Amino acid sequence: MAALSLRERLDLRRFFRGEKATDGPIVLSHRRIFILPNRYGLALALLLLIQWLTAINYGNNLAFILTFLLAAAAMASVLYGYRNLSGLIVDTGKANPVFVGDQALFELRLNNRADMHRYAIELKLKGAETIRMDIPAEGTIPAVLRVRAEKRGWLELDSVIISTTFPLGIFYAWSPINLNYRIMVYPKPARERLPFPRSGGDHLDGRASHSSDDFHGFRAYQAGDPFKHIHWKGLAKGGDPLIRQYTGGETEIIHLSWTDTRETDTEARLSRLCRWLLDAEQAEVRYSLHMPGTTIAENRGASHCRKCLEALALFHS
Amino acid sequence: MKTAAPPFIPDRTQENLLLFSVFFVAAPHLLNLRWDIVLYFCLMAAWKFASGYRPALQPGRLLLFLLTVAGAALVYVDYHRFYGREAGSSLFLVGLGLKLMEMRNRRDVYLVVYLAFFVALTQYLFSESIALAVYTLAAVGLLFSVLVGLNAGPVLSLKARFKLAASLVAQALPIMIVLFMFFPRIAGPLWRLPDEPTIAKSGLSDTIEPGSVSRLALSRERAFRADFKDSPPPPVERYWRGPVFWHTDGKRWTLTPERGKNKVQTAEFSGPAYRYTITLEPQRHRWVFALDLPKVIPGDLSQTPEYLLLAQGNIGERRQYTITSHSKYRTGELRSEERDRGLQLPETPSLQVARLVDGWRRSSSNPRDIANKALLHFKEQPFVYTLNPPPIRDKQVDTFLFETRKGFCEHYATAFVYLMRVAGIPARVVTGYQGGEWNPVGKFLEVRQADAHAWAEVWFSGQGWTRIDPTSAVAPHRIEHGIDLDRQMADQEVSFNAMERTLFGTQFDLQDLYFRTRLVWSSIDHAWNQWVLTYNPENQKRFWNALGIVDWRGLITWSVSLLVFCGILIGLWRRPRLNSRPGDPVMTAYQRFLKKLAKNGVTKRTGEGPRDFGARAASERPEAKVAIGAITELFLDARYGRQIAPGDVERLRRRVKAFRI
Repeated sequence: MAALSLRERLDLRRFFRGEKATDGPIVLSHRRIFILPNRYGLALALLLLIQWLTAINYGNNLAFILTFLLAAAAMASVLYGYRNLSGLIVDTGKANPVFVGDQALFELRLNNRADMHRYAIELKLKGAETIRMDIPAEGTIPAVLRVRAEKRGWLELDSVIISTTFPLGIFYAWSPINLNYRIMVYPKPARERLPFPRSGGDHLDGRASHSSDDFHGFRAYQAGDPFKHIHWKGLAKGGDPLIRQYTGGETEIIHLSWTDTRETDTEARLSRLCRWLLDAEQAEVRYSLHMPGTTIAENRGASHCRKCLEALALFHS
Repeated sequence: MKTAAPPFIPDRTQENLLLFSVFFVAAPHLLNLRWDIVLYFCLMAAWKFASGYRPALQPGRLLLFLLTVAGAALVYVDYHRFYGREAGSSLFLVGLGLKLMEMRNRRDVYLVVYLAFFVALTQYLFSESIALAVYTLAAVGLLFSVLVGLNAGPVLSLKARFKLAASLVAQALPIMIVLFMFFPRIAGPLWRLPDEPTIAKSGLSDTIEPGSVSRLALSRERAFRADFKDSPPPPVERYWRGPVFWHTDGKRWTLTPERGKNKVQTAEFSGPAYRYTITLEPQRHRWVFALDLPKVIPGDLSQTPEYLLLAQGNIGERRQYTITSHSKYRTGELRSEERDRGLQLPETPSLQVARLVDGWRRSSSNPRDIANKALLHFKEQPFVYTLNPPPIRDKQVDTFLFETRKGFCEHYATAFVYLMRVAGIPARVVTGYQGGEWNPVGKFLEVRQADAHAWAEVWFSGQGWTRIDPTSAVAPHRIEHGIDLDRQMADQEVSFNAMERTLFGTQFDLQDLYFRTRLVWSSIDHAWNQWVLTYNPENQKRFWNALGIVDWRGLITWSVSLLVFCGILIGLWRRPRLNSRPGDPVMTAYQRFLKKLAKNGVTKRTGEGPRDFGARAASERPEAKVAIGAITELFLDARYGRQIAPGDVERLRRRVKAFRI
């Protein structure tokens, strides 16, 4: 952990936003853990005040003792809360890309190298459901924070607050952590399955033939469709039954181009291209992507698909 | 392992634990409060318990409202108010029961627990015994275990919750002691306490009627304790002076109101001085009992012309005074007003009495002789000392002297004073305590109500007021040994209940054991009183002065450093052990592997990860490339892999052991 400058140390935002993002793993230490009473703690303070006043009024020493005992236990519970977080190692897991509208899964791995169980640790992230977990002694627990991907491009992990109110629930011990952890968000594939663009006469290289037997795209299965045109592979992978459509003879290459999209809106065009890309990959044909400023030569396979999708995701951003 | 965070898990174990804890905390109030309040609370707790198993029983809003009204009405009917010690405690108990009924979420659980803490506190207004203090520790521990369960969730077993709560309480104890000693005390009360009828406390009364002292003789209740630095006075000199009676109407003796203006005549003291600290139990009077006769008294006490010490107000709580007394003294001249009071008689004495006294007067040369003759009379005539004298209806003195002749100290003292006055010698009745049980463990005298006593003081010229105890003429053992309740019980003279009698009658060893245990217990109890219960603002100031704390800076220094010390102790104790040291087999094995490589000149650089180091080592020692790669992979898997299989660790260890370059 890099040392903090004085200005960083005195920055109050550190309490809520945490320190600037670093690559994992992050060890929770006294510098990162903050503890303050929560509303139950404040209520306890009020109770103690009333008890103290009663003790004074009746000059009752046992009442003083009870009051001080509760106060002392509350103080000791601060140490327990601190200990529950202290030494916890937080690291990042896989970063699987998602499409807009899907849940981006940020996987954090909480590694407990101490010989004690850590109880009721909560992970809070804005826009995600709070996760509550226990971490056994010398164990590692993965925690998946689900964030809805709203925008294509890189989705950065916001600051995650790891907190606990263990053991008495009167003190809130928390540690905001910022990790360099981002997930690629691809444009949302267009819902409508349109035929692949006909590469038309504007292609002068002549590589594409335009016979009526060309593979054209998919459409949903309808009763009466010939069995040999069913896209069996997609069906085996769990997809809907699709029918391969041909417009002519077999072609090897599909050119997917920005200019071929009928939509006018940038995002809609990207969605359209995204859908074509996925369909082309599914159809196991070679395809190329032509974007303003970028061209990805024809190829096929998972990594080619990813490259193309990334280009869409990062387009003009 | 993972759950979404629900605000409140209605968990049966958790709820039953809560119910049990709350009931446990409230239980001591069963002895303090009216039965209907207690019944109300028990009913609510039982109802809640039942509705946990039959949700249909859960009361609706209207019923809850009615229950609330009923609870408040109950308190009002019983006490006609909602504040003050008993009414307030009842109100809180009723509130606790109600809150229990309508507990629905996490917030309610906290409210119930906090209310329970306060109910525990109200119990101290009724008793401050060690037993209750220890009981409360357990109660607080239970309530903490409820909170722990609420925050940790059901993964934590009941046993683990108790253990955690208990260690929390144990660790809180030292901090609590520091706070107790150093937290600045403010002298109360802050607001006027509602005047409540004082709880009837036994003690000396302000009149002497037949039977008033002998009633006390059956009370084991403690009157006070006196700590002696050195040895205590011998039993025959253990006279603790209390109120002095001058006036009698022939039937009873009454205290005349204090005449504040009278000057105290200083006495001439001789003989050994006894310095002691007296710890008085609460009583209804201002009387401070001192060993006869006090010489040096604390500034906040005043002294009447009869040498009785008075506190500023009624001693409603346990108090301590340090006093020096002498057993030999000589008081000054008698004022005429005192002579009149010392010779006061209700009516002319009967012929029988006059003849008796006349006989002594004629055969004696001085007042002292007359007094001796009177004592001799008690000794020679068949007078009997007994705790159960026959009742006397009228003509108290005559009937006692010539008919019943059975009595207790008050009979002898009052009769003797009466006789002296008839003989023309100024005399008065002194009440107080005589004797006390010496506790060799704690080095203090414990004086019980059973030691209440009455004796006479007679004025002789040249000597002043002189103590004469006519009871000693009849029952010298009473004076020398005190009232030995235990022996009397053994002899079946006095009995508290039948079982005790057979117990002590037949098994003497058991009695001895009982006696010893009682001594030890009594000294523990005294220490509790002395060190804990009487620690008030003044004592705190004295304690601070002894530590050299003169201002707030000293106070802060002391308390902060002690608190930090406690905190460090707890922190060290509770520090988690990280397994990067011996104890972690994976790390140990890897360290061994590194050592073997280092011997061969390949040292891992700081900041170099295991994978990079493995690659470098393999390139520098190509002959061991396979082994290095395998060990590095195994280590990375065991260390940072998602799941550690027990076999992995063993395999790694074996590979490292076999590793040769």
